[in-house]
Amino acid sequence: MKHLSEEELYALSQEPSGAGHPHFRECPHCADAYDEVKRLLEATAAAGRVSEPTPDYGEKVFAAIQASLPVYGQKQSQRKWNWWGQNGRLIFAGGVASLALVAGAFWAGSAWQQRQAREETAKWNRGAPSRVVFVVVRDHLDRSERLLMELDHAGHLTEVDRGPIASEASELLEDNRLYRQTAAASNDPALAALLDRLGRVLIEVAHDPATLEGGASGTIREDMNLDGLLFELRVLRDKEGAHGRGGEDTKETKS
Amino acid sequence: MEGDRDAYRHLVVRHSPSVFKTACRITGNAADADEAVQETFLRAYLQIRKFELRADFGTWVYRIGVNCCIDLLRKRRRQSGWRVSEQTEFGEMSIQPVDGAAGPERLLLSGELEGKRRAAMSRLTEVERAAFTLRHMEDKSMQEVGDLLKISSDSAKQAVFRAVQKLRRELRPLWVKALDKQ
Repeated sequence: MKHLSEEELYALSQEPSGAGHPHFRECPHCADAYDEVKRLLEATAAAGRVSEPTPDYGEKVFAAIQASLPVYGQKQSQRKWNWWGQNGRLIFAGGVASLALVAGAFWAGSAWQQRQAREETAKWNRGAPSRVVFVVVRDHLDRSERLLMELDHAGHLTEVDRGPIASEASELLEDNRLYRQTAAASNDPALAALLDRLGRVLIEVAHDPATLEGGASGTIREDMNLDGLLFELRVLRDKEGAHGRGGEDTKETKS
Repeated sequence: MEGDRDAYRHLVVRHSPSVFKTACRITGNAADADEAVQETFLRAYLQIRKFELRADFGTWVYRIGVNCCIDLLRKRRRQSGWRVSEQTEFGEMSIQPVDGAAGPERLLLSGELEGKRRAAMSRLTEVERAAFTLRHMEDKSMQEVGDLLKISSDSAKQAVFRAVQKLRRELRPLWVKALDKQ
């Protein structure tokens, strides 16, 4: 009798009905080999149950890497400074001679251009937060969307179901307050308004999980127009994404 | 610009626990997992311009995390050559016992098996180890494993199969022992 190859045995172990393969009834050798593969995979799955890190784990990781995180603006100017340190004297000597010739004509035009560029940069800096901030807000909107969708699709919620939803809402609520304040301060009324509405839903879910009882998520859905909020959130998130990319492009073009 | 770092703290706090768990599974110990997590978030910060804003940050950083773990395994191998260790050197990692309700002999065997399994895992190549872990501990599909390791799904399948083959060969004496005890 021809035995199954190791590859065939592994492939069978990945099928739900693999153990019932007709060959195993006739061939105890292959049945044992199949059993070995299954045991190995079960032991592996059991070993994969890693315990949760401590609640302050993220803070510890951040504390460990914080000093190594460059401040983007500073890093760029420092790099420029180093470059000047190495090559500046040579360039300066050659440049002075040629600069003297064109300085007069150049001055008027460049002064005007520099003023324009400074105004544009200042305008961009006022209106657009950095890329990291975009990613953070995006992450917050993604998480909120997932929670709202969970609520939107929730039917009857037991106490066990409510716990994680309420605690997720509670976490989001805290971040949401900070982002709303930042959005309001940075003159982004659309985002501030959305975060305000989102905050109201999160308060309901986090502080009064009983409102989720027995399909009361339907009440939230209707009272707070959950579908509308979800739609608005997706539109704004896409807009924020496009804005982030646009801002980045602008930044790169300038540098 | 200092705000970048403050904002990034939120991302680290939010996503580092899940990256840590994956790193623990791939590297096999908490100390290496910690190192991989720190490297992951440092690398993510430096590469943030490459992040596609429509994508999910968690998925993106997970991918970086897997690569950092593979790099760390390579580094460890370069540092000490192929490690052939019979004992469980991963004391810090917290892992559930295979069978908590079993009798003392069986528990001893479970412990022995776990030690041998880890030692056998440490002898796999980095890609075999990562592919096997992603498939059988992280429950990823072959396509996902391939995407994460930047190889085709066929190559991922082969890597996982080679790992199963090697592990099975190394652990066979213990299965026989276990059957004898029953």
